[in-house]
Amino acid sequence: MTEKDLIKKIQELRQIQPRKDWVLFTKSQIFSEEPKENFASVLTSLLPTVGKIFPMAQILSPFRFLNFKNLKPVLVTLASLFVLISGAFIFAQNSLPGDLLYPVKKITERSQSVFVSEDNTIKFELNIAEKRLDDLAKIAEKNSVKNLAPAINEYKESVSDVAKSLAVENNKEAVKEIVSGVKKLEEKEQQVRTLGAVIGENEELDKALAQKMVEILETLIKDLEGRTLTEDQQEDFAKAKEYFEAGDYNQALMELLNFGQERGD
Amino acid sequence: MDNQRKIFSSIYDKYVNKIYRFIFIKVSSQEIAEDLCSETFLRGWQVFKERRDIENPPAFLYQIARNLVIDHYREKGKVKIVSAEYSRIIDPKTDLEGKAILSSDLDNIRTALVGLKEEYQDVIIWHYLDDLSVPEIAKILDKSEGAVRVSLHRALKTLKNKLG
Repeated sequence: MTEKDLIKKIQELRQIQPRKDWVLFTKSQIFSEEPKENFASVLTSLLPTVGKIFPMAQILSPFRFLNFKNLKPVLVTLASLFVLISGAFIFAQNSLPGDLLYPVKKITERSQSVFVSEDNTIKFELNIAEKRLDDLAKIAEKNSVKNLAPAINEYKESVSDVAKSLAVENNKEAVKEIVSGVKKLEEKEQQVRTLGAVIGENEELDKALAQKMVEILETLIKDLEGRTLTEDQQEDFAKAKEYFEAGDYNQALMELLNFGQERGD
Repeated sequence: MDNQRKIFSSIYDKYVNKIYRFIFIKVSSQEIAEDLCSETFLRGWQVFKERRDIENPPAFLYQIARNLVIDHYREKGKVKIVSAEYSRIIDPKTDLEGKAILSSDLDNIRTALVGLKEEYQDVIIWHYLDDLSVPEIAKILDKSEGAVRVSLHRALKTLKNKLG
């Protein structure tokens, strides 16, 4: 074979050609990469402009030693993490006890307690307990057996938190609201029981509530005994004392608090 | 940006066949050749956008393609097997009848060519297939023109011996 023949043979390899559709597709792909500007690229592209407008800001910036182009992957990762975490928080709001994202929902709820004043702590705890009861109702309706036990535990825990807050509560007006809150909770609990959930008694809460009411009623009675009362007032006071002695603290408290309002305290 | 796009678009049109062939001869797979070729142009476009000018576009693109082929074999831990069976040429021209097998003559020449050392393969492809001049090849390889001429001569001689 002569050198000329060999070169001719080599040149036959020119028949190797790419697919025409692939050539067109690849070209469009290469140029379509261009408009894909993400958060990081926008940020990095803005930095020189910001630097021109505010040269002092660039000098004083604690980040002036950082090369933002090198930080691009970090920024992309941070932005992705932010999206992921926000997504998890949003999805978590519909989660139920026993679900994977449920702890996230709990953290979100608990973090709100930072903004609650001491006076409203018990109301906040009652609200949480009510939410747990709603979760439990949803689970009982769906008959989701695997979520049932965690949901009951969660509810019990929230009721226990209410009881703890109640023990340190000294505002007699707040106690009145708490009594109606607890009553509402008990009614709801009864509804959930009819759906088949076995919740059990809230002994801790009942005990804490009774103890708190006795404390408040004793203080109120002692206070009124030292005052001069009209005949009507004496009658109402005697009725309230009767309720108290009969153990109907709820009714006794209502009488005394209304009595106080009538007197204009 | 539009102007840059136009310039790179014409570079793409001019060299896509050559770069594809250069890669295909080395990897003997349509799929891999397409992947590496599109990656070559994508990287080329990214650099072109930043620098706004490339002195020698073919040299620049061949260099990227060359590195990508090397990386391909290195990353995959692949050994370049050049047995006739493994490296049979699949004609990527689907406008004919899909993946038709080229003539055994072509198959033989490609197999023999891939069996040469890397530099000999490259100088033969660039000079005899892609019509690059000796000075252009010298620039890509960062060698003197004399050294390229010697390489070309030796490469042809070795290929001739291989083909018997």
